[in-house]
Amino acid sequence: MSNSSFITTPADNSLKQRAQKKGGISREEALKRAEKAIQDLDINYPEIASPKLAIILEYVSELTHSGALSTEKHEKLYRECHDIKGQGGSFGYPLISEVAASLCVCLEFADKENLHYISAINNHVAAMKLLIDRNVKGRGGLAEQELVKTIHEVSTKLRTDAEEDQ
Amino acid sequence: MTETLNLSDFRVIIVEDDAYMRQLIIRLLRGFGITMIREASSGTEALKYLRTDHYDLMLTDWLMDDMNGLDLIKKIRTEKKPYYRLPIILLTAYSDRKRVTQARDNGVTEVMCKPVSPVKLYERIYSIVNYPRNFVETPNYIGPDRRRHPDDKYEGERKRDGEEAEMPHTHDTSADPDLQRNLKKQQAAFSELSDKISA
Repeated sequence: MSNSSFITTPADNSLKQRAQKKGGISREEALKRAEKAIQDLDINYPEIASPKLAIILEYVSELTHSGALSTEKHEKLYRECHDIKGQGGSFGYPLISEVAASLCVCLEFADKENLHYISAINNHVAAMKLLIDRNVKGRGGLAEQELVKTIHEVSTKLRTDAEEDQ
Repeated sequence: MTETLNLSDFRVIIVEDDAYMRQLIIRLLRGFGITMIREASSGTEALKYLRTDHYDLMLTDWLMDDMNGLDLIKKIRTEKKPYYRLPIILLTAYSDRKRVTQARDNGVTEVMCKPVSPVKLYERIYSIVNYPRNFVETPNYIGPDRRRHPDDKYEGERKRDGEEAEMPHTHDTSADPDLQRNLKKQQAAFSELSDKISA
């Protein structure tokens, strides 16, 4: 390439060469060891999530009573939900992550003037609180699956409504 | 053919403001055989370490308080310090295409959507090690070539296949009638709300 402002350097294979040294472990073994390592990690996720949930409850209560939140508080509320979305599944609580993900969709994309906005937020938070309080690990059973499915339905509809209105 | 990776002399830096997530990631990396791991709780702290030590790989969160992951990546790529070609995995709870594209446009090597799992992280590292990309420098973009190079010889699980299916922790709650009642109550509330939104 003659254009001096466009430079392409060939891929660096040094990591590959180093990783091919004797004494390596297979993918299966690496995953087995990693799984074991996180199982041994003594973390009770509901305990980690509880302070975040407390902040969420506080802001949602304010939202419910005053009808709106300041931009700063809305961002903080989103941030806490976003954190729970990322953490829950990582620590073996995917349903909590999924409810938080759906709540993030509502907070980010739904029309805040929508008649059902506040009600949807409150329902999400109630579901999240239930799963955290009752320490619901893993994917749960039929009731949990149905709950998550309907939750997604609500956030998807709110998002679609908002996008159609634009 | 069983392919092995020896990552024992790899030096990795983790930039994550959540101490619990850092612990989880460290555990996973150790499981993969990586022992030289530096923790940074902010982008500023990470830059301090990058200026003084050599690292082979960086894992960074996106949403952080003092400097977010994207700004950190942009800084690393554009400041042209010795580490500006460092392979970077961005960990994020954002999963929409728009944000993944935004991350790629800022020079990230791999994006990994949270929740974090052994399979997802291993696949990203495997890809960086075995399929390094060309490095591109243009007036508008500095970072790894954004085009992917599919590998027909790879026999393991594909990066985006089976990620959803991986859930080792199962928990049967059917024996808890009170919880079941509450779950159904919540589901009914959402169902009612869903009908109202449709109306």
